[in-house]
Amino acid sequence: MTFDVKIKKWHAVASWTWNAGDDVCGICRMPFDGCPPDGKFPGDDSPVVWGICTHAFHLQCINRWLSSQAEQKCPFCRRQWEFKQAVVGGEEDSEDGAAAP
Amino acid sequence: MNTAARTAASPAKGGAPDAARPVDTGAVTKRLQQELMGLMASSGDGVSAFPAGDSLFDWVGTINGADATAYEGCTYRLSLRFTSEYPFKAPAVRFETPCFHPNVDTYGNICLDILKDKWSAAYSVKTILQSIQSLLADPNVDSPLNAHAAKLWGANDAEYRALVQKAYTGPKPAGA
Amino acid sequence: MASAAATWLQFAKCSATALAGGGGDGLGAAATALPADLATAADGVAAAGLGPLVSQQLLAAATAALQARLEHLHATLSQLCNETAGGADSSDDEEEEEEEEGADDEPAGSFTPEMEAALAEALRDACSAVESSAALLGQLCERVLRAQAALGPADRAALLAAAPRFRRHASTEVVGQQGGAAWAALLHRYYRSKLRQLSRVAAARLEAGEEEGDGMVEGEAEWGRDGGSCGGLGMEPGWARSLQDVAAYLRLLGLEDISEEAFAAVVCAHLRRRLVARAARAADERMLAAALAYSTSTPLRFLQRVLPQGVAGEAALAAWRARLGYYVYEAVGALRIDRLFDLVVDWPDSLPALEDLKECLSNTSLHRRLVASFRRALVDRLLHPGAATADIIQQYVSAIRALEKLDPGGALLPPVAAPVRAYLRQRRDAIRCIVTMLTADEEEGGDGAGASLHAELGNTEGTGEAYDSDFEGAEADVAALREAERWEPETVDADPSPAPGGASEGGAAGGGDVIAQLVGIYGSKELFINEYRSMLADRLLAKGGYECDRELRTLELLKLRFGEASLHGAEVMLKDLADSKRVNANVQSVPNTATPLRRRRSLVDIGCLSATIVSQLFWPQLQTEEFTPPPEVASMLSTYAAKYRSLKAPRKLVWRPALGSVSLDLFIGDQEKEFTVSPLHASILMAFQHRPEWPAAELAERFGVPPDVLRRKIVFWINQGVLGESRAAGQPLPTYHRNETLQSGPAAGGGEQEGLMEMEEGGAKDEHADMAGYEPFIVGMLTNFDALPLDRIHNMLKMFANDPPYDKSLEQLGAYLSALVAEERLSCEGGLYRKRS
Repeated sequence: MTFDVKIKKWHAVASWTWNAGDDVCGICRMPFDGCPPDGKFPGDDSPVVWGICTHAFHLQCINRWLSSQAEQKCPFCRRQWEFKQAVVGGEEDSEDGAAAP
Repeated sequence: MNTAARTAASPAKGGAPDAARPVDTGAVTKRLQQELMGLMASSGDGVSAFPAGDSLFDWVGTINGADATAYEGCTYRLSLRFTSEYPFKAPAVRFETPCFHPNVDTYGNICLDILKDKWSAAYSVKTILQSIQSLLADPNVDSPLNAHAAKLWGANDAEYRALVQKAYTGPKPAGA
Repeated sequence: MASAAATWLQFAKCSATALAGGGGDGLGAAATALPADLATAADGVAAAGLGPLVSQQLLAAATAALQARLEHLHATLSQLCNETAGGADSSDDEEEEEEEEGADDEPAGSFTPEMEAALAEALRDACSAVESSAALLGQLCERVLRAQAALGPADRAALLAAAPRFRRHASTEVVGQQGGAAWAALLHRYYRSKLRQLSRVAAARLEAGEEEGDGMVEGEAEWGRDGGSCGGLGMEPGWARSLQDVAAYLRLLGLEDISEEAFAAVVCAHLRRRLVARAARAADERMLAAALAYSTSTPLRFLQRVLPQGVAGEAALAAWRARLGYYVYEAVGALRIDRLFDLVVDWPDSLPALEDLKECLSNTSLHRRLVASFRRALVDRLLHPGAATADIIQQYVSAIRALEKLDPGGALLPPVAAPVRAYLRQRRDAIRCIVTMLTADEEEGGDGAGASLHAELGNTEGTGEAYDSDFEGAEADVAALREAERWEPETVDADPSPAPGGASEGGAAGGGDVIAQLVGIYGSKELFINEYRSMLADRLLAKGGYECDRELRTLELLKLRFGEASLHGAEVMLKDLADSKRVNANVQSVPNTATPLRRRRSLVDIGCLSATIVSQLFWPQLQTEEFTPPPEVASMLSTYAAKYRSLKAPRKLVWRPALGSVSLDLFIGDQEKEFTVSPLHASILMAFQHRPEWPAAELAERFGVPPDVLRRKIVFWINQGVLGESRAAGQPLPTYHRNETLQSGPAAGGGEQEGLMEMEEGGAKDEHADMAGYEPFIVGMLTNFDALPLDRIHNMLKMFANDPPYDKSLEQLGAYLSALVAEERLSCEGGLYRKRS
């Protein structure tokens, strides 16, 4: 007796996230997974960056803040701003693949 | 004539002088709209604010004097005017209700570092109003705008309180 | 005194004799001289100073004499009435048929030539009697007046007025005891009979090809040279002669009003019959021009005989020509209005009929009637639970187009559309229907769900800005309704600009901008766009692929309509599809060894897995029903996510396991079958691959879904004959088992796409719950402004509350504020609302 299921194509749906928490950018108050006010598309076009102080902002927003100030400081903690290097893929691998809560 | 009506009416006129406002105000509007939503979602805390007229660039703020301070029971109205560079530049904030305070002059101007050199793009209407609320309770007597108030602060509590009440023209505390 | 009395008696006797005798032959009597004895008697009366008594006496005598001489007329009248009585009760409907049937038999109630001759003769006699008596009376009075110089002004006036007074009495006598109604009925039948003869001959001549025209035009050109002769009529000369005579006698006898009423009714009924027959036949060709032409042929020829000849007659005829023209406009207009609902259904085939109607409207004042009648038809025939929403919308769209044609000013549409719009607002599926119709393929639209409106999108005459005006649909509709109540058509005639009530709504974008009208039902484009996005999301996620060219084209059109900003979300959604396609290709090309994956995962082949990766914030709320996929799928998903992360860090994926689509081959028994199903459906099937049966509870637990959800999904496989269920006695839940061979399912359930997307409607909205979202804004305002009036709060909400966008009416807000006042949250004094501390 055969009862065999052969999956030919599994088209799944996922959402992406910057993994910066549910929070909003402290400068533009728009969600990280959205776009800053002058960005048109989220994601690749509206990257999120972290300072070494661990605070995150939209790249466009922090750049504008830094260029409007004499001193390069984090708007949250006033620590000297330095960009943190992007996380290497797979580091937080164990979190992946989980179904949405 | 109450203060609210005055402050509510002023922005309409106030809109004219800076007509040179840059065209691209969308980003500022978006952020202010977000702040308004946030404020509406979490009312309380003794501070409140709402756009004053047709534009999101002029707001009316309200601060309740903190309990156990000379300002207890007083409700102060403030005006906040934003520029198109907000939040990269601080808004202009003034008391509309007369306020007897070391860091507030007779025109309502406020001397507060976060509105000047200590401004941060991460600040908001709410943090501004909360800072001013703290300033009421905890003046900075080293750089006074009102020398008389600065002198009385901590030296003659009773007279300080009396002058605060004398200057105050807003709604009287409930039950008073 | 005795001689005066004798003189008076002599005069009375002579005059009575003369009046009774007829004193000459009727119409020419005025020229005849008075008999000598009567002249002498009159002089005697005058000499005796009895002049003041003359007029009264003569009037009495003449009336008495006339009564006797009218016996013949009244006898004839009675006889004719009886003879034609068969037709006395015939209604217009019967007449209509007679007319249509043609000329075979003289129907009951019609006039034979003999009857006509009898009528003419009796009328002529009566005329003669009246004329001769009146003439005699006049002469006598004149003579007395001349003979007795010393009369007072009142007496002189009475003598002068005697003859006219007699004439007035005479017409009363002519009408007689049978009364005006009998005359009216008889004359109606007479005129009808005559007109029918004329019309029949005209039709026969037309058939014989003597005249050119399309059936209604009976030689309008010929009318001009017809002149006074009857040669052009095609009738024997007697037809016109006798008609003309009868009409003239009636005028002489003072029966002009009764006569005119009768022939007017006959002519109008005749025209109307023609028009009704014609209008019922065809809506796809115009009839107005032909009808107008016809009104100047047969009916006018008939009237020419009936109206006085000469200059006065020509003026009357000109007036009648105008009157008939107006009658045609009104009748054709009314006929078209009565069938307007059907004309709209048949749009655009009914265009000619609507063009007729348009012309009629501009020549009459039928606007109010149109609005009332069409609204009634819409309410009766369309706005009931039995009508499909798509049909209502389709008919509304046709109505918009039809009324745009009728009334480019757009004044008619708002009052007519108001009930439709109010009704559609109550239909919860209306928005969805409109969006479907707007975005559906032309091919897709052919399934009876109403034609596609997709083409409308390309029609960019309206700009996006048109929707940004802060009108409220419902309020404007109420205004339109009120406007309709006190509609003054004159304003429309005089001024083609929209009526004040309608201007605020559809008027802005032009009545013909169908999309503006449809979107305007809801007062805000945001609601509409939200619905579009939710449908777009359904479509895109159900695809199982990345193709969205058509959706892109639709989006471009919508952007032209509604402005780019409001469709930003939809744009991101479509870009997500394009990005997903690219990312998917990249993910697939990441070698397993290139990432620090755990060894177990590196073996997983993800070749059959593809993904749509969405920017969650820009999509409508995604389906929340989730489940735990089978391990083999879970490992594919995590491998895919890991590869994604290696490309896109620090971004990562969050799977929505319930969304998407799976195509699979099922080998069961000796059969192979292909399915495209939802992930949960596929997962269920996979569970049976390794184990022939599952208790419901266990299977539900495996997927982390409630048993009833599982059951809903599994029904699909049961219907397909792939799975079966059994229930042990006492067990609350069944056990599912796989079938060894494909069974014919208990129900030939659905297609194989079933269950891909099961959209569930949101719960019913409670009005106040709806408003509650704005409460913080209201409180916020009142905290910072002490006190505000209703309209100010309304405006500020419109301005600043945009999530959800504020779309309530002033009335709704007022009701909500009253509720807050009742709850003692606010206070209201002198129209100012305050926060209660």
